[in-house]
Amino acid sequence: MNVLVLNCGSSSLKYRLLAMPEARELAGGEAQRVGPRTAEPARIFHNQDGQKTVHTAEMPDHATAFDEVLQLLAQTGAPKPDALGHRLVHGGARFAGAAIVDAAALRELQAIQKLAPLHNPPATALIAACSARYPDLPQVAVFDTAYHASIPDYAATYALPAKLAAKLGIRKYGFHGTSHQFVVEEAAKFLGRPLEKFSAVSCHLGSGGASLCAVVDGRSVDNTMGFSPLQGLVMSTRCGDLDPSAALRLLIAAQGNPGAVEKTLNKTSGVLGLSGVSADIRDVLAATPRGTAAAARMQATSQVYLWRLRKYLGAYLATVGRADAIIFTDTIGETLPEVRAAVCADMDCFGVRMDFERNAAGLPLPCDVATAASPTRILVVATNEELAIGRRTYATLMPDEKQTAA
Amino acid sequence: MYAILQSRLASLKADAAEFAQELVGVESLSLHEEQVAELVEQKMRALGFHQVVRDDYGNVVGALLGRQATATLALVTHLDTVAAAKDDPHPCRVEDGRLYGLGAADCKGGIAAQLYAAYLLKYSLLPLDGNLVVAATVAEENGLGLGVRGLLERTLPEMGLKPDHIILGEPTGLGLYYGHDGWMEMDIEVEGLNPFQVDDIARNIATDLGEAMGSPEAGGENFVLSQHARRQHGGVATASMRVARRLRQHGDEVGMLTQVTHEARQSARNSGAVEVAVQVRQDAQRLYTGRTAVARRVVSAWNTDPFDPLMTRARQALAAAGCASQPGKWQLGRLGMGTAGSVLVNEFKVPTIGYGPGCEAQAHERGEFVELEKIYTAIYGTAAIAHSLIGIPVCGWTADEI
Amino acid sequence: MQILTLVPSPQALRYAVFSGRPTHPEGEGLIHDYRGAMPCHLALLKIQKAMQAAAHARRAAPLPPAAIGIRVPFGGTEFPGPVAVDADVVRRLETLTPAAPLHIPALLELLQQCTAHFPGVPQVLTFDTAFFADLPEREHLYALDADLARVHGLRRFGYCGLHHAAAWQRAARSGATRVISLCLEPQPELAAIQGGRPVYVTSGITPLEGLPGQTTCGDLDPGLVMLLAEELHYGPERLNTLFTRESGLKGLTGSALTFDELFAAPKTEFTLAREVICYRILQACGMAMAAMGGADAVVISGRYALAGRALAAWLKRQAVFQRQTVPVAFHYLRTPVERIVAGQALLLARASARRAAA
Repeated sequence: MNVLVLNCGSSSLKYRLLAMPEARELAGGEAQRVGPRTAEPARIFHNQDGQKTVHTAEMPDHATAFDEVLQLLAQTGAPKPDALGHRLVHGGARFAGAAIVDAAALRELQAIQKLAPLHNPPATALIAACSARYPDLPQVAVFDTAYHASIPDYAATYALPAKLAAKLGIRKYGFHGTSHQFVVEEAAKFLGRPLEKFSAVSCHLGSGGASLCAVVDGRSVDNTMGFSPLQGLVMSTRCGDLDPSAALRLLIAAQGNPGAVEKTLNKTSGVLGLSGVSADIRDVLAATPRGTAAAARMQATSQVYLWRLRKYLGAYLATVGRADAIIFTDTIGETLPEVRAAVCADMDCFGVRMDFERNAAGLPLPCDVATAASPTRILVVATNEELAIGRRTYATLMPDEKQTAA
Repeated sequence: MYAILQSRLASLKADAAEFAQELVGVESLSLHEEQVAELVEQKMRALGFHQVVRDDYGNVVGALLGRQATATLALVTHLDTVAAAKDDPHPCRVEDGRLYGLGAADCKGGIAAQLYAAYLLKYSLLPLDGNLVVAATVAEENGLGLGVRGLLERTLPEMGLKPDHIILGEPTGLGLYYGHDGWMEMDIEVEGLNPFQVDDIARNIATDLGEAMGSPEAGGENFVLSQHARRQHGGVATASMRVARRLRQHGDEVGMLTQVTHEARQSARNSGAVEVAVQVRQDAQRLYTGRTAVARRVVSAWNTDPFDPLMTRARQALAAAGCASQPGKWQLGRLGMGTAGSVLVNEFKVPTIGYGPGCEAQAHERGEFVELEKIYTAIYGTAAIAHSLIGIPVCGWTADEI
Repeated sequence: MQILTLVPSPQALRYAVFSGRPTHPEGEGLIHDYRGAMPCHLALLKIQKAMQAAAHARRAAPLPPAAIGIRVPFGGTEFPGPVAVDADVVRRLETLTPAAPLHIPALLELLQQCTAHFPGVPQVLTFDTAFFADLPEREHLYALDADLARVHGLRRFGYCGLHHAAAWQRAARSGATRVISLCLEPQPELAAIQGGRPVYVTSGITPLEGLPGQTTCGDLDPGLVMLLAEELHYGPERLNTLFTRESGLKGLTGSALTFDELFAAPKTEFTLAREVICYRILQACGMAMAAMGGADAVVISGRYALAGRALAAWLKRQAVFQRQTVPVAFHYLRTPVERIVAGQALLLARASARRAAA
């Protein structure tokens, strides 16, 4: 079965065609500048059989982009997809696992769009368009929140009035679940441990969003993101944890307009707000600014970023109790040894001892950068959300073959 | 914070009620507000307002200055009342929790509420970021905004204050009001050589316009008509009458004058050689301070966007304080009613809303009263709104100790 | 040498009189509705009369106290330790008004009234935030736009400093250098104290952030604030009431509970609330240990320090504490805040008396 995995960004569409269950990549790529026309033309960067090609196309929305991708696949002689696997950020309380999209599921998806106003609507619109145009092509929605459905109530409950929380569906949903689940499975395999006996803290440190996940017996028990992807760690433009009274002060300054505050906290905070120059922590860590004020600001930005990360690592190691491993993944987690070192140094009290030389050695992934004596392993694992979505899609459509897929 | 306000209010209620009764006890027909102005000024000084000014118009203005003067909120009422009906003995009294007397609802209860709302914030030790102005103006009822125009044009600028929001203490029955229709009084003169013909034409005009618009007795309809009067000057006979029309929107004044002129001339056509002229009624008024000013008898319709941040924040503040906040507009059941909103919104472009303890139905009525409880609620509610607009927010702090 | 201590809160003014060593107060009392119907000057008059009556009962001459110690919940970074009040202190306090609008103006009034009723008696201010005045930048900065944070004064403080300082002293006596200090007050706060200096604290701009309290929500997803504003059409003031008065234990259980009651209740009651509190505290302990690279001692203080025993029993069973090769010591500190205030006031009064003598 050939599964076409689709991942909608706000102005991009990533796709990957996978032959399942063997997970062989047939083609892949990314349509960029999807949406209203920009200074540069919209392009598809296509990758097939080791060949990289660039195609220009008008792509006013994700549905058109999808059509272009299908055409491109046909032109380049790639096999026809037999199923679509969509990545969705938020599954709300309704979707605790991947779901086959039918009319009822689509209605549910449309109903929960407001839970992730930045992320869900483009993917939902694409699913609706695909249902209309290719009714015979099976579609599966894979949710970032689904892995976190196992977070126990005491970790998922905010200390707000219980009735109100029930009425508005307020609880910790957690995000990046697809990635966390993938790297946890990979890590367990790498260490040769049975997944159902594997406990870990998974650190998904992307260049945009970032979250930690506490994993006990292969299941998520906590995630630093909360009701929305705004809570927790310092992110590229998101503030992460904040005194609720700060949001209230900003709300008053915005004359009671919540949209304005939402934008401030999501778009101009985080690394960007702290550093004032870049939303990418890599730029901040590599910067050699002129002048003491600028240097101090860069220093402060990286310190706040790393300190919050370190504190949460401690919190989640306490949650897990005896972690078999700490897993680092995604752009920052995979490529920045200094970030891993800053948060793993002097963590002996949690049974964490890093081999700093191995950590800095740039070993091929997956790799273990803990000392031989460290009770907790420190792993660097490449995440592959598309592959994870492909696996989930296949497993959902072919439940009997699940064993082979895993 | 709200617990503190309520608790402190409890110890101010008696004073506030006494002050309201004092105000009602002093007659203050338009252009004769001196005595009541004196009372208000004394009270502002006694309550420790940072600045207290009585301007040349006779308005009384008190200000509590904020730490940063980020914004200025003005609480505005008027000192004057309309003349009592002859057989109303104007007994000022408190009975069954009601304060009776001329101007109780319109708008002396409002003066007391706004003045004590400002004091309540001060007395509760809740610091302000912006400035809080309390102003009671003259010649509102009769002078059509003479006092308030002076307040905005001269007095506040001289005090270094420029209001960003205004709350009128006019009777709203504790609803949040954001505008009303206007009205316009016009004098129609019919001039001709034949006095009988002039009479007939005047009568025709009265009938036609009356039919077109109904009569004022029908419960605050659009039109009020005075019987025409004729005078003879040499060989020329002149009949004059007065009409008034409701204005639905700001900016209707010129159109309305043209329309009424046209209608009056239509009624007079085919009736021989007469001149029909229509003009806005205007007259000179002498304020109690001796200053004179021309009053045009136009109250323009005004409207603050019900989704203006002022409305939003006021509604949010009242909800947080546990007060009702029914939005609405004044009905202006009678000719001559209006508020300073016409001047404030249309001429000075300051977002304005109304929040006061009196009921509109009581205004200009015999046996006018205001409920004391509503004065207390207005004090608390106005303080809550003011704090939300210009107070230093207390976000995150509980009333419980830490 | 008598010390009068005043602990004002919006609900009541607590006072106590200590003699000599501040161990046990000679007299104490509570003046209700201190921010409401009871004006400040009457409250002070009451205290004055109570002190006179006490002196009379002892057949002693009614002398004014040697110093008045006043607890102040907020001193920002302006006051890193206790101070004796003078004109300059009053001016500096005034500048703190925007950060603690509910407290500073009331404090200034209280100082005036203290001067009026006890002329010439030195007034010593002890600040809850003083212990945290030099909180490291990495800990006090929010990941917000730097200008926005400056304009609105958005940075983190700690709020139970008087307790934490006492907790540190207690643990340091036993040789600890890395201390987790949990202050169980209606709004609990946990701090990591390394070598006497705080490196981590749960509170934020206000005591609202961090651990949930008896009626306060603690940490929330900031996105929830906007969701609630939109869904419930609540303004910021109403949301503030929701977060500070209707949440926490009260919101979770539907009943007004103290931490004592929560932990004394049968296992089957309030289970979720107890689990939430325990879990959040466990995570805060993890953060503290990550901040200090471990922990030598946990000190539980505050008025619900005894409830902390049940909590500590649970904490000790958790793997993160079990796995420590050198067991983490647990201490309980029941020193009431008045005593801490009196102690600081006494020290400062004596020091200035010595300076005056010299």
